[in-house]
Amino acid sequence: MTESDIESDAFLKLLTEAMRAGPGSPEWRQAVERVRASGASGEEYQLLLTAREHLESGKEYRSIGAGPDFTRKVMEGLDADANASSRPGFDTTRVVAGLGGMLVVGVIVLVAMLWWKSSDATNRQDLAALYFPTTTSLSTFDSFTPDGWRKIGMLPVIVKRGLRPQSAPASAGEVAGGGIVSAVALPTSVASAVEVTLDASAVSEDVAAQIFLTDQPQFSEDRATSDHELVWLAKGTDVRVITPDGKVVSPAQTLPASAGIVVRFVVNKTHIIVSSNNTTLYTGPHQLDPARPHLVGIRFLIKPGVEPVSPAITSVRFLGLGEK
Amino acid sequence: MSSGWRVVMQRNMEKQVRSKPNPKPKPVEPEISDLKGVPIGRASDEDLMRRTQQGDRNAYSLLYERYSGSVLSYLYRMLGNVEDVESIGQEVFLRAFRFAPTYRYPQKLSTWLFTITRNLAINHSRRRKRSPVRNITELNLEGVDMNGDPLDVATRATDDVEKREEIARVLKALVDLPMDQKEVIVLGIFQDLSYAEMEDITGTKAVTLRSRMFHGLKKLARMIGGDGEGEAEAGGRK
Repeated sequence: MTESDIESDAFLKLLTEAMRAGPGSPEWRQAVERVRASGASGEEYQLLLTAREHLESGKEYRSIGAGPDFTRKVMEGLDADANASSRPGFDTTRVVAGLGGMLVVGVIVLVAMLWWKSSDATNRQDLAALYFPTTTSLSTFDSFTPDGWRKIGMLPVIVKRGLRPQSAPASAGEVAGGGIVSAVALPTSVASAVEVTLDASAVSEDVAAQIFLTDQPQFSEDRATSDHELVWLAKGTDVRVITPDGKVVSPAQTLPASAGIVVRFVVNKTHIIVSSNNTTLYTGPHQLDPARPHLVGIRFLIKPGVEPVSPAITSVRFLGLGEK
Repeated sequence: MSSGWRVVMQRNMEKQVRSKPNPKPKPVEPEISDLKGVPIGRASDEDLMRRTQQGDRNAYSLLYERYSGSVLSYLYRMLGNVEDVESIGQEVFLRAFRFAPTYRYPQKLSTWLFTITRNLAINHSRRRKRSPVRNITELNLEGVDMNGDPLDVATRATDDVEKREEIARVLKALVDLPMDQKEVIVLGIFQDLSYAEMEDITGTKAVTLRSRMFHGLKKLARMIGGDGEGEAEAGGRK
């Protein structure tokens, strides 16, 4: 087959497009129909399509990600690069100014924290005003579950361009739940934040995606729920926040059908701000036990026999006020 | 360097970038007022790159998070040598930051970034200078042990033993395809790029890329149910 054959033959153009787009695409379905209709003469093309299906099955082959040290080296390289371009030589004045600036920032942060601790009544405003410059941990869900998470519940989840639920197992009751929970707890002595990025291009009324904060390390096997948790919930396009006492505390919000939606929890010992899609949904007490570790988790709930169409969780970022 | 120090330095650097006549990265767009008020996490890749051009390191960090996996996987699939992947991968993200001012909005960022990645991979291959071989546990890459072996990947993909062997044969044969055919399969299938995007990245006409895709898959198809004869042929054209 030559290039001019492809240019002149609509079927070959369709076939090569199907090979690229892969199983499940409209081009693939059309190409398969055409090959089947051509009978024995289409055997060679059938083999091509089978090879393509095998590549799809093996798409994880050589799929890798950056380890923490790799990322650190890149970021240090960027620092060095930026410094080299903006600072031709060692500048003592600038270093002193930088140290002075750091000291001022440190004092401001210290004073702000002391002031914040001294007044519980102003907790909400303090939380809203806090700035979290440090990413203490980042988990991206491209092709595998990163370290630092453990699976919960009976519903299997997969990582394929995001964390997603699979179909409910046959043994499931009315609803099956499953997900992941962080192995490391949020600090309760200082404020911190969690940003969960999700892709809501596809949603279903039969599947709920939840981001939760809990003070209980035990989860039910069937629904992957704990006894005491604050939940951000998206069911279909409806978004809600539910506190541990079971009350829906947020106004109705519609989940836009797009990727890159960020759900943010800003939390301290007693209070929380929950926002999604840049809108604050709830500000108030989180009701969790300040003496217990606070764990962050992702959970999906699905009815048996339905397609597992759900928002996909693409990353979870933990942010802090200062040092890693 | 402590993160607090880093924040201060970053702010200082941003101020310097604004005040210096020829800093790196420098702004290339006179106005980006339309970016104001867009949460960084929701910004498109292209908008993040424009923010990077304005000196926003957070924007570039987000781009790094979005693309590090696909860039490293592309390099691993093309080069096959994880030690090379580690060193070239770092260079890709440093160069992309350094040459951020050369990016022209609204060009698709993935195309721009993969062009850099591909050029570095080709240059590296020409030099034929291999990075020192290291133990897999020493590498700062994740997933190599899990996804580096065709049979392991095939085993996770299906319980059907016969199909599993076919998948593993196809994946093994992919490694030995001629570079131009392997490239179009890696970019088009594994990286999910369109023929138009591949045309921009490789500078090769789309019709040629389609032909390479066809002939590359044809070679892989010979592995299905085969006894290794096709494997020898694919390997012979390396």
